[in-house]
Amino acid sequence: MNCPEWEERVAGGDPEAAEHLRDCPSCAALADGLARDARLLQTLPPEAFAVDYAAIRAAARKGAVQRSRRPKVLAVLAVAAAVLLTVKLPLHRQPPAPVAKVAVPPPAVGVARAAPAVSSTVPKVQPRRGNPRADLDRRFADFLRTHYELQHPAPLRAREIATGNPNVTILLLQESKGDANE
Amino acid sequence: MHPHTAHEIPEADLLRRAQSGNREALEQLIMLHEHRIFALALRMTGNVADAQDAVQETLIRLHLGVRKIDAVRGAGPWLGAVAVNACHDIGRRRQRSRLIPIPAAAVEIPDSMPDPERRLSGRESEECLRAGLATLPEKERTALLLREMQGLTTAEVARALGSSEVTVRSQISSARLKLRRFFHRREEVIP
Repeated sequence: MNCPEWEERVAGGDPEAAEHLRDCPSCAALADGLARDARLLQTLPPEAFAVDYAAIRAAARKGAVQRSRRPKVLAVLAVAAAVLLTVKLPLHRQPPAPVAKVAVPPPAVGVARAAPAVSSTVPKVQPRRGNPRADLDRRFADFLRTHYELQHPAPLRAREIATGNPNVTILLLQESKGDANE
Repeated sequence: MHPHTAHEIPEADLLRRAQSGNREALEQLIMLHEHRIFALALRMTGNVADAQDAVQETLIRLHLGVRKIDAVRGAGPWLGAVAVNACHDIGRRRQRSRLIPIPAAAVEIPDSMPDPERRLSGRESEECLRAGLATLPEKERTALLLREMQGLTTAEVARALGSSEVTVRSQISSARLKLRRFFHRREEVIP
């Protein structure tokens, strides 16, 4: 390998290198070696004949079936998620934040244009009546209580804790464990 | 002697029948190529377990995508490109998991390993070849194997690797020279 200017051309299979190979023993040896390497690469390794291909084929068949089903399952899940989001999203919507209106002092005498009248009070946020989320929470609490008591003889007490957000109620479930005062 | 009888039916017929939904033809097509896919994967990954995983993944993709194969070129180039991608995926997963060292580095050879073809045969020459391949950069190794083992053209290798033909030609040339120098050094160790 003493002919670096031609080595790459020989390795790249450049047809113009054929003439050079006749005059350059080093590159001719390189070409022979490259041909041997190519034959070696085309020879399959002994391990290739000792593999349990039947098992691999069976696993591949199974894998292909599972993978072909996956898009259908994903599609069903996506539809289910979309339905859930459609149903749930309105329940999670917060009421619009109250807009604080700042009282503006009456215009000074002599000012040509009067300032627009504004309310000087901040409206209180009233819990919505017939809140569907609260109804759902209550129904869920009833279900939990019923279901839980079926499996556990100890009486269960549920306490609702109101929060600042009328749509959020914390349910505290407690087992009495024989002590009615707890 | 080849253990399968699939060679008796021309590959083009098998592929055409497999593409029209004939499962038996698909199985025979697989049997025709599975040795070579495994060999390619073994030389890509450097270990048998990963190579088997790559073969399985390749066959799954063949089941799902047999209709995508260009019947004129045959299944070989398509399978080679898919197998290489499967090997890359396995390599990436392994690097992420950091549980096992990089496979290419796992191939160890004794210092006194002689020339692969003159002195060795079978398993030893394969180990020597794999050791040489492990010294190549991954892209060069991939391009060389797709070209030499799967018979892909430069354009097909470029398409499979998402590269240009000029780059692939250079990678293959460089890989051939590096592999030759690797064997040449071994020849010098044991003249």
